[in-house]
Amino acid sequence: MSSMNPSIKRRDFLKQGALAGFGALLGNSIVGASYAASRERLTFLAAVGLDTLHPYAISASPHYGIWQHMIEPLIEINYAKKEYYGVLAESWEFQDKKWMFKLRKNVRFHDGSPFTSKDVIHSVNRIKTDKQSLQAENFRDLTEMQAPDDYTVIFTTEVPNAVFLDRLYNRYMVSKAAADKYGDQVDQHPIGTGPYKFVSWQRGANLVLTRNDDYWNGKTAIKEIVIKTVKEDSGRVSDLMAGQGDVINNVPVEELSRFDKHPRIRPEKVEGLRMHFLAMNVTHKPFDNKLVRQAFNYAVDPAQIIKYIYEGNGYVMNGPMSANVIGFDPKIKRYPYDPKKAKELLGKAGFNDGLEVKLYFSPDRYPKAREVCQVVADQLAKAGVKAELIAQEFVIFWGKEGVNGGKTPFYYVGRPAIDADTVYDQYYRSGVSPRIQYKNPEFDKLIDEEQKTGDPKKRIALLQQAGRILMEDVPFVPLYTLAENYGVARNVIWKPRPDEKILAAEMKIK
Amino acid sequence: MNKLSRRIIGAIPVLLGISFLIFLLMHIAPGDPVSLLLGDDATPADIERTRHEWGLDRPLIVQYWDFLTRAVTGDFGKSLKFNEPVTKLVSERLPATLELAFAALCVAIMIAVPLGVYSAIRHNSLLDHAGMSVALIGVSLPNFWLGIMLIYFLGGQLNWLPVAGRIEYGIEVRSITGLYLLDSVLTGNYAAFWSALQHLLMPAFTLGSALAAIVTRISRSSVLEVMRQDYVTTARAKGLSESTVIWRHILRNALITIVTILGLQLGALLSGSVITETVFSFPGIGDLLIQSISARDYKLTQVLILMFAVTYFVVNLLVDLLYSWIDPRIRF
Repeated sequence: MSSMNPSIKRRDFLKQGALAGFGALLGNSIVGASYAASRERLTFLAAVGLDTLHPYAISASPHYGIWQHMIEPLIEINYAKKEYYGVLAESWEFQDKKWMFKLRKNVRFHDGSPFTSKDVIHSVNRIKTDKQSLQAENFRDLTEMQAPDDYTVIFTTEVPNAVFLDRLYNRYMVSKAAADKYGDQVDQHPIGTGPYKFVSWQRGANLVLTRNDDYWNGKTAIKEIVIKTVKEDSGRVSDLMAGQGDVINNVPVEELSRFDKHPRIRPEKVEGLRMHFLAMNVTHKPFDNKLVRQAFNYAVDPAQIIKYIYEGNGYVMNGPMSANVIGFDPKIKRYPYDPKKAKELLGKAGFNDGLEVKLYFSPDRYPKAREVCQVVADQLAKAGVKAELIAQEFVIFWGKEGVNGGKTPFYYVGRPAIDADTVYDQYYRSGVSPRIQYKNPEFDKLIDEEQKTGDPKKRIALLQQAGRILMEDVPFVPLYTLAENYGVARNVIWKPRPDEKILAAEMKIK
Repeated sequence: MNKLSRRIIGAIPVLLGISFLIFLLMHIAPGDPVSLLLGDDATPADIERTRHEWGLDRPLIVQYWDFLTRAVTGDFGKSLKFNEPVTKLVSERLPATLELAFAALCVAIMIAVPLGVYSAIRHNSLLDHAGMSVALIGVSLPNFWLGIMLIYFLGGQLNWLPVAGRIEYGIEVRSITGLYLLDSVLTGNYAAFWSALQHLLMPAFTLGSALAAIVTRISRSSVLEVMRQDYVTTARAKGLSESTVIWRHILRNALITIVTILGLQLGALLSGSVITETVFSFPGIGDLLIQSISARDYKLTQVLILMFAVTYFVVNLLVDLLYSWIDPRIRF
């Protein structure tokens, strides 16, 4: 029939098109109505979205935060107490080379199947052996896994490993039954035990989740979650202010003041976990000289950087670790800002006429890295050090021709951690990574010992002792942690966590 | 053999050359995709192992030959960053970019051609000067700035349009061509049409505005030139109405230049979409290209750039074909 009267069809098409276009231009009411925050739905505009539905092909905190709605870890951390608590695990014990976990009973996956020790073994195996996994590193010393019954799992490591909980942090449990059922298509069916169930996902666009009404820890308050990727900073801020979203992350400091008196939006901030510092690779001159390293510590004042570059949104680090980290030592004090003393030490080190160094940084990785390094260079200049700034794309900066090849002598870097061991082991222990190449047998011994010590108090004491050694040798200049800034609708009750994870289960809508 | 097939065959060595150049440039460019991929926790041993697994430790020429022999069978390999077949990633994203580019082209044509023609016919009038000033501003405005301003005013302050994405969540479009506007009309899904149109307006305007500025100026000068031709004077002398002179004699002859520019610019639109898509979080291949380059995702970048090259080639071919349609004297 349609071919009989093509002109009318075309006209109809144009009419409908024009009508639709007109409707779109009247977008105000449409957009407003469709986005309005309700008790039932929360829209989170995320700076970073999921690139893949592979649950282990990720290694960044914001991604973990998204996945944790659907799949859950054995343990989580309480940042206020700096202690781990059980999620899917009920309790655990550490003895010699073994970690034994008792699992929570009566937990079910979204498809109704029970969560058991078989799922834990399946998940850890997949993390360890899946070619696409970016988390295998965490289980490199795991030699054996046993499941004596449905609710017990025993992990055996090569040598006693007291920091195994840290390695288990952000390691999520998936369903073995689903893997058996779907085979290599399993990632298209994200099934977990989490408070939210998967509804739909488009790469680079929206992830939609709906409440798991049978959640083992009680139904959550919000029924539907939409996680929408909006990479552009100003886009997220505009969208939020227009009422097109309820929560945004990574708010640039310049934009924060726009929320202060906004009727619908409030700013939220929390001290983040990423510790920024200036690293000195001690195999390069002049950083092989301890006096030079100490002089640099006297010459740099992070408080100025926080005040002028980050508009106060930062926290000065007093030692190698920030206050949020397990192993932090409140007794350690940073070298005071004293350019005169710095000059004096440089003189003692044989640099009476000053010296020239290159400071490397990656502007595409750390916010405002260029401005920060400019201030650092200014401060160093007052101590007689001429610092040339070298900006590198992160893929170069971090690569084998850069930091990870041991070829960058002096650089600005940031590293998140919840346990001091992570950073001490990776940056400062002999032979682990070429980033700093610091060698101190006494320090190595403390790390060896700390990694075997099951008693948390004793372990923390060992970490603190290691921290004091580092503070004397200072192959780094500690700087600061930054505030994680959020914009949140005033009707959303929520306090942000230091780890950048935004968990809808922790939110309520008024 | 006719000219058309000769041109298609002629494109093969060009594409081969381009693929080799990109391959070489990507691998010569400093940067280590594996360290970046594995992140903070990786040890040197992990990095080496992964490099080996991906075959990145083999000699360059072996890697290129491997790429080429697989590419012939349609297997472009897996993306390092996304861990998925490159062809899947590209085909997921390509329709979005095509839709955006065509929408931008429409925006440009709708603004530029009438404005350019009118300015030429009434040249040196107030409107001509105003139009040319607007065109100058349009061509000078950086894409990203215009995009951010639109986001700020139309999205943030007025709340007229959504600032990111391609369609409102929860609205499903049954995929036929992958172009949301077209698919939603074909399936009679007007809610999807509205939403897709709302999402497309700002990016299309941002991308189309610079092109509109260029096309306005070109249309104006092309029409001006044709207006001075003898056959236009003859047409007027024959007593044809002014509108017939403009539509049948001036515009038709001026079109050749305009179409050439539009064709060349369509290629530029696709590459211009890189910035626009990033600003509007529009899930197209421009955004994908940025991600693949900063991750040094060799295979993905290679395929994306090759695709740009193919697009340029196809568009140029189409423009040539259009010539003979517009001006029957031109023949292949």
